[in-house]
Amino acid sequence: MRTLIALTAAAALLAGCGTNSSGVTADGKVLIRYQLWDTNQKPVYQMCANRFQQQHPDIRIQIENKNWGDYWSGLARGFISDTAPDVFTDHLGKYPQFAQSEVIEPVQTRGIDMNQYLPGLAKLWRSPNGKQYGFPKDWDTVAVVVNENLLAKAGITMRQLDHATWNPTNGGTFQRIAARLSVDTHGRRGDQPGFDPHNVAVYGLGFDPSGLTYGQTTWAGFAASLGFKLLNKNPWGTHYNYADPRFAATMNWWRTMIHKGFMPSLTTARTLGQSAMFQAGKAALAIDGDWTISTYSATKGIKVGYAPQGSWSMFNGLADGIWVGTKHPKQALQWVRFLASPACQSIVGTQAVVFPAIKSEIPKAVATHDKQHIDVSAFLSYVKARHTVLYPITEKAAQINLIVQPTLEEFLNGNAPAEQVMRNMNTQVNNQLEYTR
Amino acid sequence: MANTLSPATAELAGAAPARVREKPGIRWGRIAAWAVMGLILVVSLFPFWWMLRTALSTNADLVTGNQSLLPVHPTLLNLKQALGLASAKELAAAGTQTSVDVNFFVALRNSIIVATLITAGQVTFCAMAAYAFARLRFPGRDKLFFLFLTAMMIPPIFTLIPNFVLIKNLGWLNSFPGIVAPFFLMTPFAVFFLRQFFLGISKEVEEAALLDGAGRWKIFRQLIIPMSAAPLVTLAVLTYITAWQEYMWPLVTGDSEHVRVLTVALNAFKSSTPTIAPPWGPLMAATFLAAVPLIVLFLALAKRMVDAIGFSGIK
Repeated sequence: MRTLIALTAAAALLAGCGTNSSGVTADGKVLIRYQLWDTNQKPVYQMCANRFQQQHPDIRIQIENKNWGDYWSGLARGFISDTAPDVFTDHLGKYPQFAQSEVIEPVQTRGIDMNQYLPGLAKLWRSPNGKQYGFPKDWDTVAVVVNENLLAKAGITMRQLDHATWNPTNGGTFQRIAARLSVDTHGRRGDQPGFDPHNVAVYGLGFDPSGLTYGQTTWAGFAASLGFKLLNKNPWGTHYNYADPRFAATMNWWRTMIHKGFMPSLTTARTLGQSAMFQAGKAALAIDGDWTISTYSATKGIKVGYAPQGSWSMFNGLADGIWVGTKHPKQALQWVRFLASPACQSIVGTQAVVFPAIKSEIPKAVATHDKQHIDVSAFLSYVKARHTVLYPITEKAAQINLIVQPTLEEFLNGNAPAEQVMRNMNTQVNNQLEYTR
Repeated sequence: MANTLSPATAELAGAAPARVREKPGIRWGRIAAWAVMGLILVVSLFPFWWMLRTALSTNADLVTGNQSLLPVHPTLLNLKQALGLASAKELAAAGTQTSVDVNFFVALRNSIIVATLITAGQVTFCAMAAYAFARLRFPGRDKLFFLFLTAMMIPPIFTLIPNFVLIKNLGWLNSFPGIVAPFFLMTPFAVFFLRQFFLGISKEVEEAALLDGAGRWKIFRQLIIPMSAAPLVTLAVLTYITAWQEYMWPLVTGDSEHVRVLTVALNAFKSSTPTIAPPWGPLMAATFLAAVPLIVLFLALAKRMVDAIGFSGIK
C-alpha cells in the first residue's frame, strides 16, 4: 500500500510538470494561445497561423479547440484563474458583457480599411463609447436545409420550396410544403385527412430550440419578413419590442406547427437535436446556419440542398477577442489583425467552411462549394437583397436570455395566449435594461 | 437479504393468502422479498444497461426513436472513439466529431492519481481524528465534535468560491495539489464514521496494552488500525468512489489537459458547435469506460465491505 501511494505521488509530481503559463515556447518564441470552438474551422485557421508564423518567425500560434457546450463557462473560468487563451473567437451575444467587465482589450483600427468588410458587420463590434472590440472575420445567415430525397417523394420541387411564401396566419405555401413532408406512423401525410400529430414518423420541419431569445435559427428571419424589429436601434438598443403583435403572431404560428405535428415538440427537439434528426431522416427540412453546411452535406445516403427561409435572415458574424491578461498584447493584436486581413480571409474563403467577412473573398467560398456541387446561393440571397437583420446587441444580454428563453419555452409547451405572454415578458426585459441605468 | 427476515416478518408479509389456502409449503414472504429485491436490482441496473446500449448504438439509430433493448446496428465505433482509436473520416461519417480530444488514458491516469491521493490522505487523517474524538480526553472535546458534525450540513457549493480563492492565491490552480487539497485532510463524515467504530472497540484491550507499556500512538497503530481493517477498507472504497465522481471542483481548478480528470474530460462530448446536438453514443461509451475501474474496485472489495457492516467490535 505504501509503495502504491509513493508511486502515485511520484506520478503526480511528474504529471504536474509541463504547464506553460509563461507565454514563451521552449525555443524562446512568443507563444500566443488561440481558442475557437468549431472543429471544422481549426484546420483553416491552422493554415492562417502557418502563414502568419512565416511572416513573424518570433511568434508561435497554438490553436486550441473547445466545445461550444463548454466554451463560455471555460472562458469565464480562464479569466478568473488567469489561464484564459491570449486570443479567442468571440461572439456578438457575449462580447458586450466581456467589454463591460473589462476582460477583453479594445483593438486598434488604425491602418485597417474598415470598408473592406460586408456592410454592417464591423459596427456591431463597436461599443457605445466608440471602442472597437474585434474585426469581423466571417459572417453567417440561415437557410432551410432540405432532404431532397424526401422532397421528391412528396412530389415537391426545389423550385417550389425556393419560392415558398410565408405568413403567420396560415403559414403560406411554406406550411403547406412542411405539411406534405410530414408523415405519421401509418404513412399518412400531414395534408391528408386522419394525420395523427401525436405519432409522427417524419416531421416536415426540424426545430432547434437552443437560442429562442434572438431566434437566429427559428423566428428571427420569419418575424423580420413582417417588418418586425426587436430593438429600437441596433447595436446598443435601449428598448425591446417583444410585445409587438407581429412577434406574437410569429411565435403563435411556430406553436401551431408543433400542435399540428409538422414540427417536433420542444422536448423531442432538444433531446434529439435538429441536425441528428435531419441526418436520421426524421426531419425533412431543418433551419440552420451556414456554419453547419459541412455537417449536413456529409449526411450519408441523402441528397442535401439549401433553400432560402422566406426572404429574410439574421445576419451574424464572429470576430476575435484579446484577453486583457495576455502577456503579449502587441503580438496578440498582430495575430488578430492578421486573422481579419485579406491574407487570412482568402484562405477562409478558399476552404469555405464559413463565409469570409471581406467582400472580395466571398466568391472564393462560393466557387469551392460549387466544386463540391453544393448550391449555397440561398445563404447569399439575403445579403444581395439586403433582407438581413443584424444580431441584436444590448447590455444585460445574459440576464435577458434568462427571462426570454424559459418564457418562450413555456409558451411553446403550453396554451397561454401569445399577446399576453409576450407583453408581460417584454415588460420584464425592459425593466431589466432600465435597471442597469 | 431474504434469509435475514425473521420468520415472524415472513409470516406477516404472506399472512392473508397463507391462511386462506393453508399451504405451508409455499413461503410467500420469501417470494415477496425476492420479488422486491429483483425489482430493486432491475431499477438500479437498467440505467446502466441503457448506457451500454447507447454506447453500442450508432448515433443515427439513437434519434429514430427505436426503443429496442438491444442496439439496432451494434457498433464498436463509439468505444473506439472514446479510446482515441477512431479515424477522423470514420467519425465524420458517423456524425460524431468533437472539438476536443477526450484523451482517455491521460484522464484515467489523472483520475487514479487524484482519487488515490484523496483516499490515502483522508483515511489516514480521519482515522487519527476519529481516534482522538473516541478515546483521548481533552477539554471541549464533545463540543468540538459537535461542531465537526455541524460542518456536514454545509453544502459543498458554499465553500467552492472561498476554496477557489485560496487555491488560486497559493498558485495551485491546474495542479494536483490544488485538486486534492480540499479533500485531502478530512471530511466530517469520515471522522464520524470511524469514530463510531472506534467507540465500539472494548476499552479493556487498550488498557491491557497500556499496562504493557504501549503509548497512545503505538496503541493506535498496532491495535486500533489492524482491528478496524474492515471499516477502514469500507471508508477507503467510499472515499475513492466519491473522489472519482467529483466534478465541480476539478472542473473549476483543474481543466488543463495534464491534470484533467475523467469526469471533466467527458466534457469533450458536449455539443461541438451551436445548433449541433452532442454525440450521445461516444459520450455514453466514455462514461461506461470511466465507470469500469470503479466496478472492478467494488467487485474486488465488496466482500470486505459486507464484513465491515457486520463488524461487532471484537472478533
